[in-house]
Amino acid sequence: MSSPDFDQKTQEELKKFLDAENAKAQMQSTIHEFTGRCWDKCIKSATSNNNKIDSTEKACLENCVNRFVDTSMFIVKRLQNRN
Amino acid sequence: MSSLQNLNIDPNATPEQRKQMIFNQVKSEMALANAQELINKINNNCFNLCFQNIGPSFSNNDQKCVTSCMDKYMEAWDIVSRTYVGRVQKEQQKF
Repeated sequence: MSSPDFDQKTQEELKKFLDAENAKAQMQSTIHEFTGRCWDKCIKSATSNNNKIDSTEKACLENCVNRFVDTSMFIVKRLQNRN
Repeated sequence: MSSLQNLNIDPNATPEQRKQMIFNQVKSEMALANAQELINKINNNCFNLCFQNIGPSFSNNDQKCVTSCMDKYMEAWDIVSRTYVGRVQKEQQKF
């Protein structure tokens, strides 16, 4: 992205924009992954009189995300403490 | 973002206009990639959920299941997104 036609300020602006978009893409990819994983654990049926996530399923999805984050933080912490 | 090298930029545009074109193109490609990923995930997960037994046709009940599953999957995406973003913000505040 080092087009000579762009002045320094514009190049920096472009870099900042692309960094932010990259971070957003990474975030979205994580959310897709979590949705798939937690869907498997929490959603057992879909029928015509049940087009909405019920309260049990919602709680399960929220807990699933939080427990996955807890797990990954726990693993990192435990590995750090081994030294 | 694979097609970025094919950036469709008018050579007569001013640098400011070209910058805006890059912004817009990147944003629309991101939105497209995100939508494609969501459609893929819905397809896989709803196929698994609705076709534990495979019948000889795409029955009325199959269609109802897929319809309901799609709505639920998108709602689940929303819930997971809000929960995850909220958790990330909470963890960042600790530092």
